[in-house]
This record gives sequence, C-alpha cells and structure tokens, in this order.
Amino acid sequence: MDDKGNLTAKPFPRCDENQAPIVEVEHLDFAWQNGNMVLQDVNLQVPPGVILGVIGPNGGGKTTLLRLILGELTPTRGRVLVFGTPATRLGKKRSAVGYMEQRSELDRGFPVTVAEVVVMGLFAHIGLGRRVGRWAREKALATLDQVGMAEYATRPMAKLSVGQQQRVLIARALVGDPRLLLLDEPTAGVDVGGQESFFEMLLRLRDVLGLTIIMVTHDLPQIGHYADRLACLCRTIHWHERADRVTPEEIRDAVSCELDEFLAFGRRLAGGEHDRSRERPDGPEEGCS
Amino acid sequence: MTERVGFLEALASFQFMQQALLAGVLVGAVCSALSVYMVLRRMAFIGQGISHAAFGGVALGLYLFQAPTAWADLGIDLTTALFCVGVALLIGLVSKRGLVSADSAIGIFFAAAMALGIVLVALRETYAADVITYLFGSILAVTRTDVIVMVILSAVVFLLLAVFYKELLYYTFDEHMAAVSGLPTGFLHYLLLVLLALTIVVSVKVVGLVLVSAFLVIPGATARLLARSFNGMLALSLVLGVGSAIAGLVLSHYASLPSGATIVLTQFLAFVLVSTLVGWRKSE
Repeated sequence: MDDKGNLTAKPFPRCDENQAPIVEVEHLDFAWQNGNMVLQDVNLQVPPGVILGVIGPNGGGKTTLLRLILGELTPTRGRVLVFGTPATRLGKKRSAVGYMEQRSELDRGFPVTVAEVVVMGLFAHIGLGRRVGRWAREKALATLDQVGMAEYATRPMAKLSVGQQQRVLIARALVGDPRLLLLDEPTAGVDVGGQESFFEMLLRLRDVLGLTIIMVTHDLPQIGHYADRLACLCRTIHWHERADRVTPEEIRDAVSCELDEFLAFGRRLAGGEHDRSRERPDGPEEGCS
Repeated sequence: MTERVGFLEALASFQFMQQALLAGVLVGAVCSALSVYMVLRRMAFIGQGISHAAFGGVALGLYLFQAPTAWADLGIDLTTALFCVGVALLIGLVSKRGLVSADSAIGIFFAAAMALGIVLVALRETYAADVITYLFGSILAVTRTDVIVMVILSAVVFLLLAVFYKELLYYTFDEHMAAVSGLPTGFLHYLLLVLLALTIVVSVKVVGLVLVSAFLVIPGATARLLARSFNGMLALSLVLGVGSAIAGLVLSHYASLPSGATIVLTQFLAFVLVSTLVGWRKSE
C-alpha cells in the first residue's frame, strides 16, 4: 500500500523454494511460567506462497505456535524468524503479518458495522490519536470486495451469519496488506458449504495477493484438499512435504495424543482419497510444494 | 400552576436556574457518552464502585475545606477528583496485575473509601447536612465554581474521547486484537478508568453518588437496543442522556421533586419503553 492507501501491485512469490522462507522456526521450545512445556524442539520452514495447514489435538500447542510467530510470546529456547527477523523484534514489519484469532468470546452483538470493523485493521497504520481518513475507508471497501463482502459494508456485524462474520474478520486481517496471514480455526462454526467457499477464497487471495498462509484448523478433510503442506503439532511438529503424503505411522508418531481421528485421517490421505491438490489447475507445481 | 413560576420564566430570571440547566445538560452528555463504553465493556460494577468511593473524596474535601467559600468549593471538587482518579487507578493496577480479580478489587476499594468517608464525616465538628447533598444530589446546590469545574472536566473528558476515539473503539470491540495490532491497550485501560473517575466527579453534585451509576448505564443500554453502528450508539446515547436530563429537570421543577432521582426515573422510563418496543418487534 502506498501513502495514499492505493493498492499497489505485488510480485507473486508463489511457492519458490529458492526464496528466503517467510517463517523459520528452529529448535523452538516454549514453556509457560509454571514450567508447563507446550512446545519442544519445533522446526519449521514456510516458503513464500505456501498454504500450511497445522492440525493436531487440543492442547497440542497450535495457537501457542501462532502467538510465537506473531511475536506475542517469547521462545523459551530456539528462535522464530519472520521475514528473517526475530518475531518479537519485528517492529514496523509486524504490520506485514495479518492475524485472525480463534472465534473467541468476541461480542457478536456489538453495534458496529462491517466497514467499521475492517477499518480497525488500519488503526495501527494511521497512528495514535489521528483521524480515520477517506483513504482508509476506501481501502476497507476494496478489501471487503476481495472477500466478497462489499455489499455488506454498511450492515451491522450482528446481522451477519458466522461465515460472513469470519470473512469480515479476514478482511480486517488483510486490510493492512500483510504478506503473511495467520489464521486460527477460521472455519469453526461455519457450515460445510460455507467452509468450501471460504477455502476457495483463501486460495484466490493467496494467488492474487501473493500471500503466505499458516492456518490452524480442525477441518481435517478440508485442509487435506486445500493446504500445500501439512504439519501435525502435538508438542513437537511433524512436517510433511505434501499434505497428501501423510502416512498413518507418521500420524501415530505425531499424535502420541492418541486421536483416532488423526489416524483415520492419515489413512485416508495415504489412500489418496483427497489427492485433489494435484488436479487443481492453480495448484502448486510438482516438486514445489 | 399559580404558585409556581414556569420553567422558561424561571430560567430567564434566575441565574441559579441557568446554572442548574447547564449542569444538568453537561452531566447528561458526559455520562451518556461514557455509558457507551461502560455498557459495551461491561464496566457497570466499576462505575458503581468508583462512584461510591467518591464519598471518601467528598468527605476528605469537606474535612479539609470547611469554610463555605468559592475556594473551598474548588478545593472540595479537586480533592474529590484526585481521590476518584486515585481509586480508579488503584483498582486498575491491582486487577491488571492479577493480584485479585477485578470485582474483588472494586469491592475492596469502594468499601474502604466509603469507610474512610464515614470516619472523616464523624471527625468533622460541623453538622453533616452538606454530605446529604453529595449522596443524593441537588442541582440547586451547584455553585458557580462547581459549574466552572464541571465545564472544564467535561471538556477534558470529551476531548480525550474524541482524540482516542478509534483506539477506544477497537479496544472496546476486541481488546486482544487491538493489542496484537500494536495499540497501547494498557494505556487505554487506564485512560477509560480516569475518564470514568472524572465523569463521576462532574456528576456527583447534580445526581448524587448513589445514583451516578444509573447515568453511566441506562443511556448506553437503551441506545444499544436501537443502534446498528457504534457511531449510532454514541449519538443515540447522547440524545437520550441530554434529553432525559432536560425532561427530568423540567419535571422536577414543576413537581418539586429531587432533580437527580427524577432524571434517573425519566431515563428508566425511556429504557422500559424502548426495550418493550424492541422486544415486541422481535417477537413479531
């Protein structure tokens, strides 16, 4: 975005292994102050343009990992680099990270319009105590258009469906023109039809905006369709070249947390039932993902 | 209506009536603006806590400045202001540090401040009638000095609300994401508490510290039932706050009723009407 808030063209860093990774996690340990170890020796590299799906059981540390990448938490050991800089010292580069947190206890009946919510994503850019200018409102409208919600701009947030509200929150995460988008359970509470169109939208956004996306999710079948890479996180990470090459053994290792769900998922993937990423015309190229 | 002068006539002839109207409108406006944040951030209890704690400040002011002069009025007002801001910040600090939960912190400080107030009133040598004014409010007891202090403090509150409008909106809507995006949420936490304390100081003589909390909740809660946007809620709350203040004052003038209580009852009537209407429309 330039000074006047106009959208500027960006190169498409689509899944280029030769480019520096957007996120690098090396030998990361994280423990809470009470000594409770959440993450242990996590290693991860996310090249530009990749959609990484992070799955794993509850309490496996998925949200904690996102918060470490955001720089909200400090690693106990090891390091987390975002754009080559330690996540906790991103400074101004932090605005290049968009984040959408888990559907939380956000007051969904709060009297606020869709456009008002999206503009919030620009407040840090605008600066403390400064007024929201016309460019910010126009930028918000343009971003709403990208998530297919432009016609809802003046509607109250409370009147939207869960899926529509999630799209608005994605727009808020996108309005500051991030290069990295972190999504925590973005489709929780969204119906199946809504989930599919949501993931299709993410693919489109990745291609149009050249985004790198890290997404924590419980939607196992869906993420198998749409992610380029899959990581199963249960204290430590289990990293896979392709989302469709996960073996039951690997899943079992990952999930000492003994979740049948994950085992079954791994078996299905190994059986090639969800090998749609190969067929996807706009999917990543062979050997690239 | 023979023995009682008309409201407008009284307003034209008596300076104290003009002061009363100005004071009423100011309190209605500043409280209703703050009430939007109180309602959306669920701060009703802290509003009640700080308004009751104001008793300690009032008693301290009355203890320190006993002679009935304009300077003493100023001294009492400023002592109350400092005391309320201090209590608000202490509650904020203790609850933010996680030493005790926010509602426990409020309960502890408001009771301690009131107890201090009662002790100080007992220590005074003069009769405690003026204390009643602060407890239940009397718009006619508002002096010229009070009005000047009220105008200045209201201006400060409105100025800060305007300057940090967008930050307070984000903080109120989604505190965690506001912090993640880089907004100074710690500062906003204390700012809102200081604004609350100042608003209570502005209102205490007109409404009385027992009833201030109603002013800090009812207009916002009523506006929320109708509003579709945040700006809409602010505007509606202001209209309700100022409207009910004027209506309540006129009513209290003609019916010889206490002003603060009459305004609160007017606000309550508006709330009952609106909630009935909204509930009825929803059930249709």
